[in-house]
Amino acid sequence: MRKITATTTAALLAGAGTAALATPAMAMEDGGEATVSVLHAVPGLTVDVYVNGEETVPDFEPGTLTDPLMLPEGTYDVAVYADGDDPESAEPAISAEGLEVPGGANLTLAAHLAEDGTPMLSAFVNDTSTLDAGQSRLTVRHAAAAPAVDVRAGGSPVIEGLTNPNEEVLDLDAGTVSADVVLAGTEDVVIGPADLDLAEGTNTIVYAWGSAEEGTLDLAVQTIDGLHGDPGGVPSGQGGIATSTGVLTVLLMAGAAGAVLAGSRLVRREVA
Amino acid sequence: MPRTQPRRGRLSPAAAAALLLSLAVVLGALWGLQRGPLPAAADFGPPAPAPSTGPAAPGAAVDPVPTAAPPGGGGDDAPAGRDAPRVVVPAPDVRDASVEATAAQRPPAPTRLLAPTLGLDVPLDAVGVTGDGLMEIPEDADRAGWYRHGPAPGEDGSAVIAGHVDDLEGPGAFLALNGAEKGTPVTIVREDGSRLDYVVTARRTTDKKELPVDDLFDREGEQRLQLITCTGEWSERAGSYTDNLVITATPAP
Repeated sequence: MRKITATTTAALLAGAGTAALATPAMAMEDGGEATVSVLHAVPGLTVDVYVNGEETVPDFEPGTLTDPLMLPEGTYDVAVYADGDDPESAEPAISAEGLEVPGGANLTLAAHLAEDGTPMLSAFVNDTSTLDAGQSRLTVRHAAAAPAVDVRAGGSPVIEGLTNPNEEVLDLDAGTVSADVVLAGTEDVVIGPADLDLAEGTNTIVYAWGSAEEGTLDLAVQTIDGLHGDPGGVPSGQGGIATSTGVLTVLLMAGAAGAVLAGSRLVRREVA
Repeated sequence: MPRTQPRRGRLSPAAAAALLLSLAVVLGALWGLQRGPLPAAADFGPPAPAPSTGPAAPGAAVDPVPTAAPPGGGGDDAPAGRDAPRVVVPAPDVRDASVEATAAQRPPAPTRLLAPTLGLDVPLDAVGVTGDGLMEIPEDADRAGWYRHGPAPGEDGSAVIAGHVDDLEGPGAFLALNGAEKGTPVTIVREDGSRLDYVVTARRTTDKKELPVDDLFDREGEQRLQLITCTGEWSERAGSYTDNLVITATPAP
């Protein structure tokens, strides 16, 4: 029953996410601590999470997420046991050794299924770089036992061909989008549609998780706020609208021209 | 002579319209030209905070190590002293990560700003940013804009409301802010009909280029209203007034 193949895999992020991550996206606060959230995205199994031998997240249920933990930078051993198993005797359901956590990083450690349905751990790096005023960031992570997918917003694909365990990051105008997930290149909706509130100044991280075969596909959402930028200024003198000087000049000229026109008509009348 | 008189007095409708239009246009233009310094009063309240350098560049001091090392490889070459710190942390709170559970709750939006002693009663629009990254302001100078991406009145931090001091048709509603004094009562009416009462605590006049945006748009700290309009000299070159007038109000005791 709780016999899940022990797999020691921590996925390295690759692909589209890397470009965004190459910018200095980490370490909002310096000081050797990393911000680590833990997501449980393996369907059907309540677990206890042990970090370096200490039980850190007990009774952890699928589809739930921890608040961020502040961890000193270092290397960590993470082991996930079925709820109540004794780590002295039981085999972990999933484990990863020597997970390197750099200081200042913002990570999400996700227990999820690989494409073939095997439980695995992935350490995702969250993009916490500052957004422009009015912008929101959407990160989509494929953490499901499912083939490549497209993510659509309002019916049109915004992310195409995303595979497990990869991610894609978009910065876009803040607002609510109706999102769904389809098998790549098809119209076959496998998740959603769901209304996502993409709040300004926030990285909304959406995980597609579960298993296509078992019919347990779903979305999990993590948000990281406080990434907002400020407007550059407050142009509150309407005299101050950018075109006002031009408008004024044009109006003056139009006024003068109108006066001349009217005048000339009068003159013509006089003469006539 | 009877023949010429009616002609002299008669304006064709077109000419009359043109004259009227000219007159209106010139008067409008004169409003523009004559705006010199707007009525001004002395600033009060705590001084504007020094413009900060903004948030520290993220990641500046950190190697861009993008992710955790694959397991198994990390153990051998991990630098001494970095491996296996004891994790003694209280169990973190755990939350439902479903889309439904994550939907954000926002307080009711402000719809009206009142300052009866100033004769101010302005409808509010929820506004964002313009294409060039400035705060959006309602075109109509009889309305003002609440910066919807920042705190709403009633939330922690600084709720920003800005309006034009004038437009080409004349003075805007926010011209009345010039009369604000310490203790002037200000009320926000929200979309659910509830009201929040404030009193003015500070007024600052700052060069637009030095507007302390990271303080004005601060999303943390004490609840406060920041009412912003323009003041100072009309700058023909910039096509705008030189200064911003910022009135700060805090919840009434």
